[in-house]
Amino acid sequence: MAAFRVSQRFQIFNQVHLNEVTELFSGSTLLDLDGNGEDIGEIPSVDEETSFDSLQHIDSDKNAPLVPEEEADVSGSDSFSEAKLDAGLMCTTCDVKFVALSDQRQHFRLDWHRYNLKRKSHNQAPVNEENFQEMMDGLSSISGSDAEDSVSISNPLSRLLEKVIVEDLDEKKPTAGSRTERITKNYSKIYCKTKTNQVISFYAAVLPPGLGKWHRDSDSLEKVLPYMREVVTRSPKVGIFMISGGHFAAGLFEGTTEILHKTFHSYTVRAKQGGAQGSRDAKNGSSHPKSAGASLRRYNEQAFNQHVQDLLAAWKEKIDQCELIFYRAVSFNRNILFGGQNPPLDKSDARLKTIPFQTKRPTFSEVKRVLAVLTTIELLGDVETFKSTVLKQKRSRSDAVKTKKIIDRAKSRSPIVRDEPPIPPSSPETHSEGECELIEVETVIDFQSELQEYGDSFSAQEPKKKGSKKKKAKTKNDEFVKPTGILELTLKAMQEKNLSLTDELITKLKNEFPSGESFWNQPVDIQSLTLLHYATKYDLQEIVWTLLDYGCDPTLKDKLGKCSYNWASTKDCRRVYMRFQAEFPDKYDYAKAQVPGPLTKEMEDQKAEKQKALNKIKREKEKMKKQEKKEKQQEIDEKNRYLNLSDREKRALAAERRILGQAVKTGDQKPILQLNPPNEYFLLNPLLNCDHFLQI
Amino acid sequence: MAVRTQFENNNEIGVFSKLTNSYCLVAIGGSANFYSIFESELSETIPVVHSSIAGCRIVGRLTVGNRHGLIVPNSTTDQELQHLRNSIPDSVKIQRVEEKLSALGNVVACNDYVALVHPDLDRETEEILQDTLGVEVFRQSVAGNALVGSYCLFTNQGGIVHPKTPTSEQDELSSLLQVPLVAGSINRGSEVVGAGMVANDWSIFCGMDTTATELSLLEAVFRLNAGAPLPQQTANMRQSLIESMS
Repeated sequence: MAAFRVSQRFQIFNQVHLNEVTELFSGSTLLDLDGNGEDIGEIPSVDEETSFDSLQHIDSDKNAPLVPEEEADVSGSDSFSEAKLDAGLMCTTCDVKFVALSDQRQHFRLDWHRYNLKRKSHNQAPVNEENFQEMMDGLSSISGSDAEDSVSISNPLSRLLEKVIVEDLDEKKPTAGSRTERITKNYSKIYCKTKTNQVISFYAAVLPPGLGKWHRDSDSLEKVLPYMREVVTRSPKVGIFMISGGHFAAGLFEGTTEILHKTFHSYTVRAKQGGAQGSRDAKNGSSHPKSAGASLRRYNEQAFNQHVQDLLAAWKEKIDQCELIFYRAVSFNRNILFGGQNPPLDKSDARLKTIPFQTKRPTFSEVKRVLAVLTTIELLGDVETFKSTVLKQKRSRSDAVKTKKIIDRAKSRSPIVRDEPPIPPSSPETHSEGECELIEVETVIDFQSELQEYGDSFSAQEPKKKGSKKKKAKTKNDEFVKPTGILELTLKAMQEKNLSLTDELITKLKNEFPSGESFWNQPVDIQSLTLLHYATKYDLQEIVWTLLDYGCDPTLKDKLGKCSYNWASTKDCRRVYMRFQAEFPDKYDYAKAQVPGPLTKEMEDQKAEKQKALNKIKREKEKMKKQEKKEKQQEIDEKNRYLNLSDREKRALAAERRILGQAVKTGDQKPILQLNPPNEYFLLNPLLNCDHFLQI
Repeated sequence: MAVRTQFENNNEIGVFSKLTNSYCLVAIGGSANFYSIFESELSETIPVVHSSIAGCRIVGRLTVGNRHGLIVPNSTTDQELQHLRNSIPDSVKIQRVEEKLSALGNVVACNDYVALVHPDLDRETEEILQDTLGVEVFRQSVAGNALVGSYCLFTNQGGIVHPKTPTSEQDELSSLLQVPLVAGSINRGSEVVGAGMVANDWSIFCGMDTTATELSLLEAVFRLNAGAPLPQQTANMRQSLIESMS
């Protein structure tokens, strides 16, 4: 938001500005910004702080003619080059000139210079020396109520420097304060058009009771300008009261000069936690903190209230003469002004007005600032540019509001209605019916057999019919044929592992049911075991082969979900299945029967060979190990034997060895020495040399 | 003499070296060339010292010093301090300071009599500067830059400031410092004049990129060509520099 430039400021109640203000108000009319009286666009706010600074500028040189204030361009070099500079005896930062070099050097050590340097680095205009002193005094006069302040009071300059940074941040922030706050702020102002087509604005709060924007419907509107014209000629009496956090500041003014003023402070706010003791007590019901600090604050609060009320009572006469009374007292502080048995101020008093802008801690300088700001008339340039700026800003703001859609995530959102995906054309009959019936079918799905990859995906066209079929199969599976006759005998034979008998019986069965696949596959047990299961279970390998050959389905499962293959307890039995698979690869679904793979004759041979080779290697390894062990043992034995020899024997042995060595060198025939078995080893073992022994 | 040099292909000589009237600090680098250029120029008069500060080679930016003293940041190790003490003349005081703005070379510009410092420099550091370096300390900014050490460089003879310094500010500064100042650039238009070169009362070292115009301006303002009338020349040079830059 580009700040709207206030070109000039005057104070209404200040006699100094009497002529200018009278001039402004003569022949002026109220400005209706867009025809609709209620909807005055948002006027860009002017920083109160800076406005006060510039007011002081005006005050400080009263004799000087009023010139439109310009923001000094500190960074640009052009503004400097205009000035006539001879010796460079000056400070461009603070905009002062010196007579002597010593003055200049002195100046560069001042806090004032340092403060202006800081302002310069934040692109702010320098302050003059008097203002700086005032600012410093203003800071140090504040009685600190919390620890933070008491630290910085020791160095007011650092606080001022901090303030520069804070101001800078405020300027940069595009939307300081909430929207409503700014609107009320601007609603609190009245805009007028002068006869020279200039826009001026002032706070509506300075109007007497019964006048102002809020009474537009009545004829009070016409009285506003006559009143303003009239009020500048005299100095009305104004009272300002501010209470906040144990600070009290009050001032009664006649025009801009103070008649009475008083500030005081008492310790009522809880350090660090914040909030007055009273409000804390109110929150917690009956359980009041009993610390020394708490009771001190409680007492101080009472004393503070009493003090304020006493003071206002003493000032009553003067207060009654005031035309306007401005106050700032929020929440429980209002009780001090309007509560109690004899309230110091009457709540229904028409003269009472709240201060229509933000204020700082109640101090006397703040009270003066409030008065200065309230009684300021701002000259805002000519009507056209003002209107265009305001309207443009208004528009852009409303645009921004429009484009920025606020999403309330706390609220549940209404479901987004989307088009349904197109349904593929179903079979003609169902299509003609229009609606398809939903039939609830309960099915038990066999995991092993039914759950295949994508097995459950079916196209929309074909209705699911599997359910009923499956159910039938299930019921069939549940019952089993009580084995009788030969079958019973067979089972018995199997249990006894009587191979020949079983074989015989099976052949008999085969003859009896020559083409009965269903017979072979029927369960013969409460566990739904088939003959094949039995044969496998009892490790009758030949029978297994025969049964498979006859058509016993290995994919059938018992109640535990085990195929017959899984019942096999030995490797050979399992091999029967694999061999069978190799021979008849297409007879059954072997994957379903959980047979791992075919096993041909060659494969078996290969495997056997491999195993053989492995065994051979293993055997060799073992052999080598044994030999090594043997050698090692021998070595150890020899060593022990040598160690047990006497010295003389050792020497003899060494000598023998030497002689033998020489003989080898010279190529003579080896002398025959006494060879007794224990020494033989040393003579032949090249690892042990004789020198070593000699040294021993 | 004005000499062009480079530190490992970097033109910012003032970063890697510190030159005063009584000693010269040079960063420990991979190439001996940089050191030997300083050595050949200065070894007859002042010691040239290989050094590092807190293990860094940017000695020129971390330290500040003049004929009377040398101030190093708190991060300097004891070993480095001892080495400096052993290497530079006994008349030079060495002081280690605890300062938030630890790149002292960037925040302080000084000759043997006056120093310009960053507006936010600590009061204690200011006092140490006065005591150790024997200078008068002024808080000032140069052409809106608070880093006075980077944007200006002056000796007892003269000085150069940021090329965009307004004339009024130049006049103000030269009155304050009591040395003639010009606004100029270094290393083919670089405005960080403090970091781009080092100078003492009788020699200048600047980056290899420095143009002849820049060099002649430097020689004029630092009075290396003795006997030449300064004001006219600088005016001429400034004129030509402005023309060449515009």
